[in-house]
Amino acid sequence: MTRDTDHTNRFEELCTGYVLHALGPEERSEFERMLKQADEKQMELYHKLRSTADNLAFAVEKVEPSQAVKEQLMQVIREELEESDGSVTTTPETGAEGVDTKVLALAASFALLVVSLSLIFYSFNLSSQLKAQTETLATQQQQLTELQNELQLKDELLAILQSRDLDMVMMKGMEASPNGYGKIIWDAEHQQALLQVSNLPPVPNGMEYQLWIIRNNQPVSAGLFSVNDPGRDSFFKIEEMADAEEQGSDAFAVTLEPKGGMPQPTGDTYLMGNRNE
Amino acid sequence: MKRIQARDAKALEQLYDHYNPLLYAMIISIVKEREEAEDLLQEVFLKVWEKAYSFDGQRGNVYSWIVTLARNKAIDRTRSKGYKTGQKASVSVEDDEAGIIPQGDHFDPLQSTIFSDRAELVRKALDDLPEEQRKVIKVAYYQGMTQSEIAQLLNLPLGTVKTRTRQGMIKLKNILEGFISGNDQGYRSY
Repeated sequence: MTRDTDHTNRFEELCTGYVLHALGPEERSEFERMLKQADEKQMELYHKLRSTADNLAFAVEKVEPSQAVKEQLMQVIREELEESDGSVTTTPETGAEGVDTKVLALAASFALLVVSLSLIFYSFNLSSQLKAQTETLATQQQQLTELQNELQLKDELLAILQSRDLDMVMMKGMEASPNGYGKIIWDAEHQQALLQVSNLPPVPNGMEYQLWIIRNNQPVSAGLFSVNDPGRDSFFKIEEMADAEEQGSDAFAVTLEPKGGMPQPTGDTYLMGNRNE
Repeated sequence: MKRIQARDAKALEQLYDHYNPLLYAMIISIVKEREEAEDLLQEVFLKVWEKAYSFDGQRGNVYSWIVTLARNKAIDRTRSKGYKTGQKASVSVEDDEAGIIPQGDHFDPLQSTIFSDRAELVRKALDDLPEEQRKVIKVAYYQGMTQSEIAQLLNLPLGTVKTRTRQGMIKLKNILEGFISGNDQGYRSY
């Protein structure tokens, strides 16, 4: 016998015993080693003998077990299914579809808390920003109004200067304001006048400058004004010039009076000018 | 099996109804006790339920898998108890993955044969074996004995038992193949 024949015979002998589970431990291990190195033909033989052995089960006379076996089996299966479906504390499955619902719920709650806090903080910030922007808007609205008023005033002053028939009285600085000066310009045709002053000191709190029209040494108030920036020329429209013209003014003076003005000059004279000079 | 893999209990119940008479008969022929056989039968199907995910229909059919599982459990039980000859278990077959997950059962010539016809064919094939070969095979398969135990039981040399087993199984294979001559192509799983 050749070596291959011996090996084939040995393989066959062990294989038939192996598929019947009739080998001892040493021969079993021996055959399993042979099986790992088996060629295609040997593997085919192994599979066919295995199927042959499996078919032997059909040769027994069938016997029915008691009904209790099935009942107990299905009871165990049902309990296992109920346990895996109904409890949120079930141990997570190793597969991709298994999720620990308790951990998931906890993570979801934490995420919701973080989102809520973030939204509250964001809302607070938005409210603060809105308030600031509202205040800014109010300030800008006020500035716009002031600019509009200033523009209107300048339009009125310009209209006076554009008149064909203008009279002008120069005013000089007095002891209280030696460097100050000003002029009265009025439009006799339209009964409008404007006052221009320069280098007058800023008015103290609670005080205002008052313009006087003087006729027959009788001063008549022609209006109140304030100067905040002595470096800038200030222009004022005199609303009371119509009355002054009718009365025939001889001179003009500017005094410093309590805020709201006085019926007669009480304070120092800052500017003075005569019409006929 | 796909339904069982999807945890369909009804599918397992149907599988049990289909196979339990055959498996129970085989188990009881090995363990000899009804109560123990019933316990093992339940263990077999619980194992099917537990291991269903690992069943690969491309590698074997359900019948072979379950039968091997059942027989392994029965043999392991008898050998662990030193059941017949007083010998301690020499080897446990229960954890034999090669046994639990059969390979290549597209080699089964009776795979397309319905159950009742298959039983008839197998009995006829066994009857066609020489008596001495049939005896050693039946003792090995239906009583779960090792060849050494068979030799002691039948008072035969171990070599004789091996030879008769080998000759008988080869012949049995050929007989079964001859019954379904020309129809051993393809594969079908239960």
